[in-house]
Amino acid sequence: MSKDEDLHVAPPVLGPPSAEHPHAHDAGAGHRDDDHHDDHDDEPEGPPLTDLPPTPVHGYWKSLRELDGGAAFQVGRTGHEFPPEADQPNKDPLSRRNFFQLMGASMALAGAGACQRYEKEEIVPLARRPEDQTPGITQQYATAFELGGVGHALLATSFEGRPIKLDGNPEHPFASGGIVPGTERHAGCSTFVQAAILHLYDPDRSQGPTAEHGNPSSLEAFRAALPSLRAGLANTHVLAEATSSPTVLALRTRLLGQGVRWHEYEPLSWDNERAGTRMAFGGRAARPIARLDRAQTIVALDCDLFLEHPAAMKYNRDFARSRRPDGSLGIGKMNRLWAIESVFSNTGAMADHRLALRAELGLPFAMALDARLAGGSEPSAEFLKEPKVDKFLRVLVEELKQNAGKAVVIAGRRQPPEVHALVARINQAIGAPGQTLDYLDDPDGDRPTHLRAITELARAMAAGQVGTLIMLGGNPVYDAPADLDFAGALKKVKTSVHLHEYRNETSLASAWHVPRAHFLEAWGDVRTWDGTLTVAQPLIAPLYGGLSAAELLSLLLGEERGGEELVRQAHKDLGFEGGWKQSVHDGFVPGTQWQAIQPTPVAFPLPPLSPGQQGGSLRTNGDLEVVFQQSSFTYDGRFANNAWLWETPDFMTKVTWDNYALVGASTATGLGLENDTLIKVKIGDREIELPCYTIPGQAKGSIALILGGGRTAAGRVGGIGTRTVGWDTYKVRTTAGWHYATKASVTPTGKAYTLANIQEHWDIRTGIGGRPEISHDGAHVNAEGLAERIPELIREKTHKELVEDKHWTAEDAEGFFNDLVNAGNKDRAGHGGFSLFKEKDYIGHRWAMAIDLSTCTGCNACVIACQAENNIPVVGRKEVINNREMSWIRIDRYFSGSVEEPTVVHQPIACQHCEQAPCEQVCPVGATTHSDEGLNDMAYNRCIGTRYCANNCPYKVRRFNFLDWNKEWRDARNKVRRLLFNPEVTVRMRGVMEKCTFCVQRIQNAKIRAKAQIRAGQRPGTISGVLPDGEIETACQQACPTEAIVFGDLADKDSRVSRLHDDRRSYSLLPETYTKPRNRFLARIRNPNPSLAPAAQQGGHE
Amino acid sequence: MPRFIFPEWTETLKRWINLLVLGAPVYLVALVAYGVTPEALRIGYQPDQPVPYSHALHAGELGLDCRYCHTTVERAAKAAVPPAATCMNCHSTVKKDSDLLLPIRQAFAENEPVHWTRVHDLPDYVYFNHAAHVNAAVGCEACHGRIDQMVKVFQARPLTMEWCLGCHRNPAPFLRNPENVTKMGYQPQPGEGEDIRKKNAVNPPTNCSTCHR
Repeated sequence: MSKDEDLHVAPPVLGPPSAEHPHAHDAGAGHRDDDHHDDHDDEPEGPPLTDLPPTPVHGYWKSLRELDGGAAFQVGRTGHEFPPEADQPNKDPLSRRNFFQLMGASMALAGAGACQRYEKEEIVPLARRPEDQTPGITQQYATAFELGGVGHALLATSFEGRPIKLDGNPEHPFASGGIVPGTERHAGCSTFVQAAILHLYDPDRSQGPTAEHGNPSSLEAFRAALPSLRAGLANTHVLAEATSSPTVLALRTRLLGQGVRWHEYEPLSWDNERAGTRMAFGGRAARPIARLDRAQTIVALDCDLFLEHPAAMKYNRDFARSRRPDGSLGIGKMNRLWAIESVFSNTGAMADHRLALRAELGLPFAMALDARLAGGSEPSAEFLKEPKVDKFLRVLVEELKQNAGKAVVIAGRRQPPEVHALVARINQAIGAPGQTLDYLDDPDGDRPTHLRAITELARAMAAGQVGTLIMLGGNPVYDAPADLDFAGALKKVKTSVHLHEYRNETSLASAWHVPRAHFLEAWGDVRTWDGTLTVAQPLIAPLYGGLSAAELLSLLLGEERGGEELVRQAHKDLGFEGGWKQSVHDGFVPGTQWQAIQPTPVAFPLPPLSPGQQGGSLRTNGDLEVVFQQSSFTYDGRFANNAWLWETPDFMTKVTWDNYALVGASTATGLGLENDTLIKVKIGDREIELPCYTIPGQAKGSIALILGGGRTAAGRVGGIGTRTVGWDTYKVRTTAGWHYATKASVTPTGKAYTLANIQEHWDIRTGIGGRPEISHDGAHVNAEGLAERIPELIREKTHKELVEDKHWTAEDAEGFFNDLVNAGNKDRAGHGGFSLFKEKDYIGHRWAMAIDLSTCTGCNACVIACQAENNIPVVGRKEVINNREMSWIRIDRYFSGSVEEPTVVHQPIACQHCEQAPCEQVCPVGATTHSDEGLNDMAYNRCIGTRYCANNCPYKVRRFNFLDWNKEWRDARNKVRRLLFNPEVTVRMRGVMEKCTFCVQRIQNAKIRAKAQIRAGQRPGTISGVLPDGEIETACQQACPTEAIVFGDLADKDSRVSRLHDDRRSYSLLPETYTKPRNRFLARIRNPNPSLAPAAQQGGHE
Repeated sequence: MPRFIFPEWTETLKRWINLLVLGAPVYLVALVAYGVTPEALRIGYQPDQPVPYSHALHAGELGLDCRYCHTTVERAAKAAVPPAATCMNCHSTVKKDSDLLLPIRQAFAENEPVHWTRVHDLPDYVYFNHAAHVNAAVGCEACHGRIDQMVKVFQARPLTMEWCLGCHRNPAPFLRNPENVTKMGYQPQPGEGEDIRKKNAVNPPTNCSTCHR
């Protein structure tokens, strides 16, 4: 503590490493001071670490490679829009088959030209049209989806009987709620929700039962086998995915009565939170739900609030409410987010202060907080004395004390129950319950933890005590802890039945496989995390047959009851029979959330700290920590056959189509691990080889393994046999190291492996032409150059400065385009300019968008929503490496500050719809033109594929169909998959340019609908007038859980987008090019504690 | 050897032959060029239908309004072809044993759709919206011709982009009083279209994204 004074000069918390202060989280033996003692010196490996270079003040960079000049765009592709040879059909030599395919295609095209009528098309009207159906008009139905035992209320869009899009249910009390007045009915959703619909039409789904390990069978045969299954019920075990469904739980109760034993397992489980609250409240399990909209201080302890947490959508929304300057906390106020975590999550990216700490150190850290806030005893842990941690902790404790009643601490899934118990006590001490935190009664507090359940089951199976095993979903052969050898134990079970949408690894090892109906094909019910009873209605009859879990259980009970009857019965038993129709229509039963409780904390014992937890933050090889991390692509592996998810870049690493080991920058340097090489990770006697991704900000001595890759029976997308995608990290996940493992070692193998990483693709390079210090002469863009160019793209301000400097605006900085001749631009008075090209006069609507960087968490929901809405194809791993990805929205992620402790900002970039669009000027065929309403239109059928437009686009938002990505969907075998296409959007061919249209199909349809209704006198308004603000939502806006994306009409001066465009935080990208984009960004506002210097300005100290 | 002397008229013939030899390619090119125009290819397209439904009888002679069957035309993009159930409204009593109506009765009984052949087929990248046009008071006739006189429906207008734009640039001649939208052979009063255009604020856009998305 005596070091305070000099800490102000170079705060160790967020500043770069400096010689006087021992670096808090150095891995390996390198950067060690004598006063540091590591407890595990027996295995020192690797060369000494060297400090990584600090980046200049306010410097932004995208990757470590970029900093040292090794990024692809700097060396390989100097100044080129596309990599060399990107226009070649295939980089591989043409195989004979490919050759004939290409030839065939061109011959067919040659013949298809003139002299032919359009092919004969049929009109096939229903023989009896249902009363409420209008052909060509979509309908919305409330339904629900369950992921890991947590319900998500959905609104499914159906086009002539086929569901084509999923979104959050804007009526649902837990799923919905706007962040500003006027948008009360906004429900964002996650990437998994958006992508779940792709599975419905997946041609790889299981299309019929199999018996005897893979032999095709039929549902009739399975029914015939039911009596023998029923006869053995007393010796039957059920292994179920976690479920909140009252219907399934009711059936469970009845089966338990017949002697069935029930086990519930999820590879990614929040059980520790439940166990922790039981510990803290004397045996009573409670479910804490924070109210972030009331919280001034939010502390996330190894917890990803915005992506992984079961209440993530609510947390996103509530966080955005109190995050907006002048938001729910009041004028001039804004919340402050603290993150303590090992893996760089997007919560860490949003945080004002982030402390990278090994997951293992969560317990001593929580104990220290508890000691200073709630009267616990101070742990003796070396790392807490490190100046950086010490300072961080002291400031945090100070703030929590100050903000008592307005603060909340949330711990994550990986942390042991003790941490959750401590957090409960800390929250009690800072007065959170009732203010910023609610406790709900946990519905199933007595169930054994998932880990215990699977362990007990696997032991019983191995001992031959299980006669019949019924598995409801799940994939334990793939994802059960490796030391249990579930596959081996399964062989000892006489009869096994596996119900799943896919014939996966477990199905192949089971006696029976029964296809499960997709959630859009079956009746069901779920509860959202707060307990609200949510009804799931089917939108389509099962495409491949298939039973729901409830229907299978009902068959086991000897009944023959349909899904609707079962769900209805469960509702009746709960006392909600009366409103059934309304519940199905709304998708939920109001007022059914779990009861709020006020539990009383009791004392509980704490385990002694392990040597690792007592030590400092330095680690040696052989004593590293490995944390297991949820995949942003496949969750726990279950979405492995989902191409949309695989091709959506991870929000932090920007890698696609892979899983990998995340290694901190200095750990990698110290251990000689390189990006894009394979490394070997060894935990105990298990080891795995997988690619290394070095990422800034990962806790030192901690390596994260992403789960959910390396599936061997996922399907044609996610891997069959030896053609796998990613690496099976479950092989090293054991019961002992289920959340994180210690004593791991890592060795480089030296084998090169290219990760399909998009972070250097589509790079906006400003001013490179005119400034010699930035211009890249073929060697590289130097760090100074980068530092100079990016602050124009990303603008940041601290909240304090924003409040104090009333005249600050994001756009008046020096060097930006100034008003030369006040001509043209009528949108922004005084912001006119001089253009070589004619200014356009706009009549009527002027569509525009605003994106708030302060609340964008980079969660990718918009990316997949756009993909689903606009029929955007996927291209696969190899073509991503070739720079051919098609996604219309890319989320640029910039690091700033030091390599060790960077801060992050996300910036979603789609077409900016420039009023003076450079792309339009160079199109030789007029395929891209400007509409009267300010849209940059793209007429696909006119495009001849010169790609001049993409070359001339300064924002790099245009995507070219290098190959015919949709070819396989025209194949008759894939006719089911074609049903997913949005009929309102053209499916593009090879050789056509495409880009964001501002969802022009939604705009046109809304306009036509409004005009028709106005002319028919069904609604007020004038034909040429504005539409009500919010009537048109773009797909990305609709999906955004924080409402960071706002779309609207500038002609309406009161619209939200008009107000945001006039906000002083708003700025446009590259104003010096005078493109006058219709999309404006709102500057990122950070809210650092004044006692800890703001991260952004500390980055380049020294 | 006496020279063979061609009669004088062969001089004229030679000129004609030259003209023919030179002109034939031009003629052929012109012929092919015209032959592949939408006017030549598409106007008059008259495919067979599973049921010889006569618009001339129903819409013309009996005077059924278009919207009796094409119910969605005022509120949806599609002017939906009616379900078999609509036919059965009358044909469960009228001509209920006709062989020609067998496919309809079968569809109705088995709840299986009738497969009609599309006559007015726009390319898939064109998004035409009936509701937008009908509500703006463009007569059905403007695009479909005298349906009330067609025993078997054929395409009467080219439905090309140029043709669409002709109206989008100058809509007044095709507008009529909203109550007369479905009337066939209706002659608008002089100035009626222009009045409706002003009254209804019909300003058809000519942006690419108006029809192409």
